[in-house]
Amino acid sequence: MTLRSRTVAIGLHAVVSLWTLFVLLPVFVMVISAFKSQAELFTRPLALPKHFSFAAFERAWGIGISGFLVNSILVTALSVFIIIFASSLAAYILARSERPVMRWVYVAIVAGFAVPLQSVMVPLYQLVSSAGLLNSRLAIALPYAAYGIPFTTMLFYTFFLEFPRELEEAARLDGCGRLEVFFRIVLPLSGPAIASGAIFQAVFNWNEFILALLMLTKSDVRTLPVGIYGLTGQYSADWPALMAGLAIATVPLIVIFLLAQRHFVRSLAGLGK
Amino acid sequence: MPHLEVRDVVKRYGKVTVLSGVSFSAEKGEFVVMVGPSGCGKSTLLRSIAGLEEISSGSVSIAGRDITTAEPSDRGVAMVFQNYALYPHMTVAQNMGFALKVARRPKAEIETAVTRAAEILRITDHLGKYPKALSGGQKQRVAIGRAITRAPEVFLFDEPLSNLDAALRSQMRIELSRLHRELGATMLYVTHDQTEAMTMADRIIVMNGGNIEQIGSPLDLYNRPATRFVAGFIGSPRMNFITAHVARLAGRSVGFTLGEGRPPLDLEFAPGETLPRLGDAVTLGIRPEALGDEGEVHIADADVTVVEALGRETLVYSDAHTLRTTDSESLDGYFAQLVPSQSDKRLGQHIELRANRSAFVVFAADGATLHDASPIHHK
Repeated sequence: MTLRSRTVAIGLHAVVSLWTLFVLLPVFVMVISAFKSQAELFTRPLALPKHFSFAAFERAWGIGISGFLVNSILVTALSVFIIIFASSLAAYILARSERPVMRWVYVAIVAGFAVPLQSVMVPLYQLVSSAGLLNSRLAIALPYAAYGIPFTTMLFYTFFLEFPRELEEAARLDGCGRLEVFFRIVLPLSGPAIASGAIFQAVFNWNEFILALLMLTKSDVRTLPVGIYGLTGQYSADWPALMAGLAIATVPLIVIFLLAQRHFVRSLAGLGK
Repeated sequence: MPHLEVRDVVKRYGKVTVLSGVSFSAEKGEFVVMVGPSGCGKSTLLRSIAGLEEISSGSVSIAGRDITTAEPSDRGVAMVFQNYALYPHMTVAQNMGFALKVARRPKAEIETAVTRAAEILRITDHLGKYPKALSGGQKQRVAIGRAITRAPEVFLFDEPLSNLDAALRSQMRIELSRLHRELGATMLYVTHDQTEAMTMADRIIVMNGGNIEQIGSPLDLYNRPATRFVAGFIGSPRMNFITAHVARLAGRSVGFTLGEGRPPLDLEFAPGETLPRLGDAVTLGIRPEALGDEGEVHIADADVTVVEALGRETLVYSDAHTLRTTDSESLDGYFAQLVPSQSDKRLGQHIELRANRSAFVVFAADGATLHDASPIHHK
């Protein structure tokens, strides 16, 4: 290795290390705070806890985190499923159609990506309310899906442009109709795109707070972020329990990410093409 | 009735015409090879027959059935692609049986068909493997096996050997010829490699610029090319072309210029061959193997510029200074000469380029052949 490339490598490592610290520090603070008492949390915020106490976890679990967890899993799974199903099919048709109008459809879908959630919150609430879906898991799963589709369609679109056409042609000669080609050949070979699309949307939907707060007022349908928010009162907040709840909420996502990390990175690396 | 019949097929992409009214037919059991330079429309024609491209006008029929608008899978064709196009998520056996599975055939039938095809192609040991574990040659066998299990009326090959290395390619050529004999199937094969065409074909279709230049047996095309394009495309190294014009006409004897201040070259035109007119610009053609130190006609004096000793034969390129060849393959303007033995010719050596009168081909300005050469027979 030359001196120059070594200098570059050291420089890159330094930047990446610094960034990693920046990202991991809040996570670290969250975890250690969960083991502290309220008083210790404020007196020595960055130090390790004197005694590792699970009291905060007990208090957090006590407000019904297990139920929130189930709700979060259901809502995330349903919305991600809808997103992947609709986006992949839409992107495939957009990527394969030669009709010029499809380019405009694609542009329209991508433009949907630019609409901020806050700007449509009130009409969205009215829509969900008049559909009679308030306080149901669908009330947030459907909007989540709608919000996830543009980005995921873009992701699949770039992936399908690179997908080898010969495989599809071979399948057509083998007797597959268009839909069969998609479900039997294209989709089974879209692992990287599915994995990264799913992780992106899962993270977003798992953490989503404002819509969930708006649509879900009953405790039995609340998702984790809104449920954990219940630990804060008007005048006081149980910070250690809050941190413990968040720590619990973080674990499932980390597991999913570790499982699909290989696909995720590979797919993102190709996204710039 | 021909087994495969293509009639007046036209294919346009917007304003660009890729195929301009192509017609040909193939008999049952025939091995037909389509050759031509890249962009000549041969692949488009094959894909049109497969149903992967919609044609703008014309018709295609197989076994007496018009399939012009039929779905690819309903045409009775199977195709082998250049990059194999094996499904990476299926094993070799699943790849080969996929068409039958899609057609919902009973499991036992699929298994029999796959086993039989695997035996023919000697890939029985690999049936359980995934494509990524196979070498290029093995993948191509699987791709061919996938075609065989479908028992199609017509096999379509789209440059199937161009991703293989030279040794494997010549092995697969022999293998494909064997396969053709064993199956007795009608095969349509696209390639840009004239060696593949010459060695495997019953008949060759030479295409150029969206048109068919000539259809014929390999030796027909070699001995009696219908156009200058065919003469240049078939045969390696390429035929030498010299620009000339008609200097005298006497009965069926035509005299052509061979450079300034040289006596004209007189060639006797056979009855039935079209005579050019006095002053017409023509191209004279002569095969590299017809050029030598001996012969009735002294074409030019030349200096040897490149000697390629291939062992069994020697390729000599020489510079004739005032007389240049046109449209040559590699060394523009130089004469290519193929000596069927090892040669003692050295760089810079002064040589005479000679040939027999019967070795010359004459092409009109529009490329059509006016006068044929006689084939050379070595004793």
